[in-house]
Amino acid sequence: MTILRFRAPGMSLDKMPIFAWYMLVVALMILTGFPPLILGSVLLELERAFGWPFFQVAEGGDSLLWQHLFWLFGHPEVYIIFLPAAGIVSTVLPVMARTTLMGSGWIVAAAVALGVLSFGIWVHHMFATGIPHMALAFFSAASTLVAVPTAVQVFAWIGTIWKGKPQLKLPMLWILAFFATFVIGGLTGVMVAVVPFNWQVHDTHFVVAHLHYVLVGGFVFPVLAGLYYWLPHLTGRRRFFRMGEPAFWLVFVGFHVTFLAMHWVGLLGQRRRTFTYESEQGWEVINLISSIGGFITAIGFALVLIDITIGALVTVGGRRNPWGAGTLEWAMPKPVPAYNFASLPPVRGREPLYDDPGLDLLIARGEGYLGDPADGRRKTLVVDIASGRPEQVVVFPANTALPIVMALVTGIAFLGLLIKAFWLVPLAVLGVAALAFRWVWGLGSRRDEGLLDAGHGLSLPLASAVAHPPGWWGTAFLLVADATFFASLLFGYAFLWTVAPNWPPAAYLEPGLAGPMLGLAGVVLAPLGLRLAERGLRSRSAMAPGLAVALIGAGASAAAAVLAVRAAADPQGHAYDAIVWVIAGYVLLHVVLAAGMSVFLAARRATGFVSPDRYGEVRIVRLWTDYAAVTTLLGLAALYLPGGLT
Amino acid sequence: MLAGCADALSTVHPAGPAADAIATLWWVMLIGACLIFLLVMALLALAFRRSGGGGERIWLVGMGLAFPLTVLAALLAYGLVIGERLSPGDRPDLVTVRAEGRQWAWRFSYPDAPGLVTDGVLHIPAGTPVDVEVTTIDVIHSFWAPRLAGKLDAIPGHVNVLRIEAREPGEYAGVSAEYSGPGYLDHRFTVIAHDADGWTAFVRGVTP
Repeated sequence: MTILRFRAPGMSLDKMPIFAWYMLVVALMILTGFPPLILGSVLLELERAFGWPFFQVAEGGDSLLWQHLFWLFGHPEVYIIFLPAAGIVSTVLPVMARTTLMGSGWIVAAAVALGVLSFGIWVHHMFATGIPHMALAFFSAASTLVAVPTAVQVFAWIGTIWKGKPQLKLPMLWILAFFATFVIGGLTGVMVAVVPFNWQVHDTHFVVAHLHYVLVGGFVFPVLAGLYYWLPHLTGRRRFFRMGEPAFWLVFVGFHVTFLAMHWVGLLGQRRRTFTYESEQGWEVINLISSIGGFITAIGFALVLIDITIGALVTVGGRRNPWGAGTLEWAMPKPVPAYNFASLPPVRGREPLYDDPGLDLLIARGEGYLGDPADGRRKTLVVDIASGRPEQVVVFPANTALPIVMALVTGIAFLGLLIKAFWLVPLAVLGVAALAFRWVWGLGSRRDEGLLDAGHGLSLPLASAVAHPPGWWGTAFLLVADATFFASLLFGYAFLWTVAPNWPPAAYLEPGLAGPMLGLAGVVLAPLGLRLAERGLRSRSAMAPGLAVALIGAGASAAAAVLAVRAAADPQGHAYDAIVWVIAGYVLLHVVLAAGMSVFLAARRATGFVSPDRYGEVRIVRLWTDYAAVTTLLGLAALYLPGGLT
Repeated sequence: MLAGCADALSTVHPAGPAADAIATLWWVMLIGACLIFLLVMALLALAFRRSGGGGERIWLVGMGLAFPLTVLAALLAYGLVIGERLSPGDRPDLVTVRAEGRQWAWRFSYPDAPGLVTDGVLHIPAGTPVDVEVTTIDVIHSFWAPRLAGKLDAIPGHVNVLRIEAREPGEYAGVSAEYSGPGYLDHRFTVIAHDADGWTAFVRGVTP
């Protein structure tokens, strides 16, 4: 959301810094990568707390379901870790080589390709679980294929160094360590993607060595490069002691001493997750070398820590842009003022500070957009996604402790589940609901303001007075994650149905007449009601009748979900009935949430927060209501399908 | 104890066709990986010595796309051929055994000798392909005799089939390779490969 809509005016997508591109891919991956894990955790907790047998084979569950859900998250997660680091390399390396990045369009395409491919290869963690050979071949091919976008990036980076005049400063040293380490990790990665080889080394120290090469080489080293690169930006200071270089060499050498020979001990048969081994297997020398290397690495990291602490606290001040970089963060005044930038600069190219050498002064003098602090509100611009053309002005809320308090109360809900203090959970959930209500109620304004002056002769509406304010976009992305969760749930259902040994259950749910009819009525009425409400509001007549229709629809959907649960057998008896409970519960939760939002909307209208010109909130509730209707339709169809077929 | 011998669990000291093929695959991949690594490092080192060389097309299309695609296609084909060769298929002389894992022991039974059960020791004929039907009665385990073949998971409610073969009679070490709790470290078994006479005697119930 922030990357797509809160950019500097004029910064179209192709002028966006490469790091932002990487983070955009990462953000989308997080939205779609974590829901399977969340679902897996929810199912696991339901099994642990209430004995619903999703993973118990005797009652129609399957432990493989957990592996699928975990790795559906687990493999994208590897790239969620790697891509920000690759973004750092793409940002820091050209500056160190005093040139521009080679083939940045290619690099963006490679990052997107990695993001997409990473969702198709989770099974490569499960090659030894007895999956059919055709499927293994497919996932093996997909897994080796990720080496291609990685190679595109690596060679674009090397080409960039060829193109420029590289300097061996400390960030560059860490980037070179990244190359040496990550290339080895990538090559062993291709090896373990070859199925027969995987059968031998899976769960051995070969894999332990491989994952350290990838994670330390692919993440820790670039992040240290980034840390040393941005440290002058964060602290405004220069490095003083030359402790960073010896620290670097200790870590780099220590790491390879620790992990290079570990590949071999894995091939000699040492398993993962063992704390000791019997002597005389030929493993002692290698393990001893690894231990020594581990100590060297640890000393190196301790020195890095000391170096950075000293650098952050006690060294002398330095220039604002010591590397001569071209991206906007280096225009930030030091020390950083409370308002960050005094005004928003117009952006004309990918490296704004190279294009406009005087840009930092223009920003500080308030000659950019929104440079007039007269009304005392914190404002920023919302731009068109593709072109970067300014479209709306957003007023940020004032300082508040509500988010952190709400996070704490949310934490209490999960803590209650964890320590089996179940009475705590509904209390905490009510607390979260109340806090959320309080938080959302405090946002917005009760008066229409028309167009605001944004500077440079531009007049823009407030975000609350457009159809799709930032809150609508945020909701849309949240629902993408929610939909992934729901899709994972349906996948789990289909997986158990087709793969789990003890299926079918004693009886499927009988559709009957009442459940489907009520569900269909809800699916039609709730979205219709929101549309009637918006029409009523915009034509300055009443909004309440439409909202009433929406609430009747929500009631019908909720009744359908409750009927399904009542018709299901004991959820502890069979995984099928447990799944029925979860799907119906999911539908019920969303219908109730959407209904609560309709009530909230009525209150906002009554108190003047929503007006015929400020109707963005109606659109947000409409989006939720539509989503709830779609999940009702799909959820009920999934529940009644097996019973209807047989 | 057998597992205490040097290289008893070594994948690079194969003692059967499946392990042979995978060990060869490893050496081929190792040589290839070393060459690629040296190439990348050489290009990186050269980048510091000269400047301006190489157009964008060479780097991105040549090195970034064509080079890995060629290498990967070859490797993938090689891997698929081996995988297909190692997978269970019908053979006239095939012997089938069952391996049942639990925390923390292995129990083996033999359709050729109904009623015969051995604990911790799997008997097979040498020089003959053997299909091991792997399953478990509690949590997930993994059947792994590294010198004979790769590993295969034992999953509750499922039966997975692993093809193994020992070239020579002898004893081979095996372990469970999926973490399963406190007894995981000693979750082992031994495979004894018999010559033809020894196998016949074993199936008849005469313990050799």
